[in-house]
Amino acid sequence: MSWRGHRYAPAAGTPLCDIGAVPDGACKELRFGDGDDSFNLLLYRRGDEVRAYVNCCPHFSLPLNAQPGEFLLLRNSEIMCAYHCAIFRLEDGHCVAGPAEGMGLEPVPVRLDGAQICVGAP
Amino acid sequence: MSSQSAVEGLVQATPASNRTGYRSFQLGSFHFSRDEYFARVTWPAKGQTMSHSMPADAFLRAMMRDIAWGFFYGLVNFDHVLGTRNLYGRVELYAGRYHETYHEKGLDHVEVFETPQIMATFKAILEDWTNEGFDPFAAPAETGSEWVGAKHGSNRAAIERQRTACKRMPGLPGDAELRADANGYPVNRAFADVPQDEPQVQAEPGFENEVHAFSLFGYLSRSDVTWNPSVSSVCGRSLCCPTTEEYLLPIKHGNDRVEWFVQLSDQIEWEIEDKDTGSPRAKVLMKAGDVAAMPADIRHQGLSRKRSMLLVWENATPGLPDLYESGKLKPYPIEF
Repeated sequence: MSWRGHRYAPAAGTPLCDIGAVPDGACKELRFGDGDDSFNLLLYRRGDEVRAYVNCCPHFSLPLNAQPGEFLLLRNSEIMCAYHCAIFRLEDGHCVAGPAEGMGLEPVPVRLDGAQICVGAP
Repeated sequence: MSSQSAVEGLVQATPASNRTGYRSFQLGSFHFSRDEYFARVTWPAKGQTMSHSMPADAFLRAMMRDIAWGFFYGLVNFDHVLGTRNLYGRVELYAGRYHETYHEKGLDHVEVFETPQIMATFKAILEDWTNEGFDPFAAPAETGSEWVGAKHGSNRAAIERQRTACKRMPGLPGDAELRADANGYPVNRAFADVPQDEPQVQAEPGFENEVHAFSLFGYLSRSDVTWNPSVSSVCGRSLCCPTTEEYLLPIKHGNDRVEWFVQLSDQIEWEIEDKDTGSPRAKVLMKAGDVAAMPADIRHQGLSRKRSMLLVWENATPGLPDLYESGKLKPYPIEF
């Protein structure tokens, strides 16, 4: 199932946050909906570029972070899942090492509307 | 720990020994070395240096699981002295902490490391100490005694093999492939009698793309590793992680949650110990069809005299360890 089929997935055009809310070279987590069934989005910023992925490791289908807002970044270009150490390239979400090798994070298109990060069109 | 940790995987290692060819490694106050037969770890306690040795093959088999599982859930005891505890973002490395006598006498030692640092060090140790021809994932009958002796070659293909995971279920479009000769998964020697035909699915009109099934026995009969679960179905936080087991579980696993075991074939003898002290609690012989809930306050080690199939059913709900540690959940699912 694509992320767009999730009951709490934000629709195209939904404003997410100001780009200044994501520190350069860092990640920010956004949640839509409540409880275990919420839709978790991961934003990553590098300069003026922003990438977004569903915050779900394809190894055990767990969030990449064990604590709210705490992400394990390597070399400011990779993220390590806090649970079982799968490492993903933030540029394209590809798993480069660990138990999810050959898989990847599910990308979510985003665009900048001025300084506002918004969900992109399909 | 900073919220945006950028710890580099710094590995401290010596040059290769002139005598054995193996490198030694330093991780915090822990020192790791190996010789022809044994892996040795030292740590400081009470102003002296403590040491502990393990057969190198047992050490490598344990370390292989610890790395492959990404420190897994809870405690991964390499044996009764040495092990790791996954703090999910950081990892505790201990010697004697969960051994009653070491701990009582103050001879234990615990250090917490950022996960990338300990992972990088463990991977470097495993790569350097695994000789050509030795596969730490294989049953002893399938890999030789190449672990013995001075360093000769390496076996990166064995220690870096891809682990099997799935999004929903193997065989679904876009999901993990089913195992077959063609993609490198021949039937294991112990399962030559397992039927390889897949289930027949006859969906009603309109439901053709909503029904899926595969032969779990066929899938498991082609597992290329032992004691290494592969995710074979994901339904919310419910994970089915079946595996094939032969000889000895290389670690004593102290889970931080209840996990369910369903013995699918043959049998496994489980030695159950108290998670904190290691004192014996029970022996359980599980035969095909038996079901057990391993409590959250024990550690267990399995013995399988013949390759067997085991279904491990995990609850991957985030935050579950805290509910058990705080006492909000009892360590067992039912009370008799």
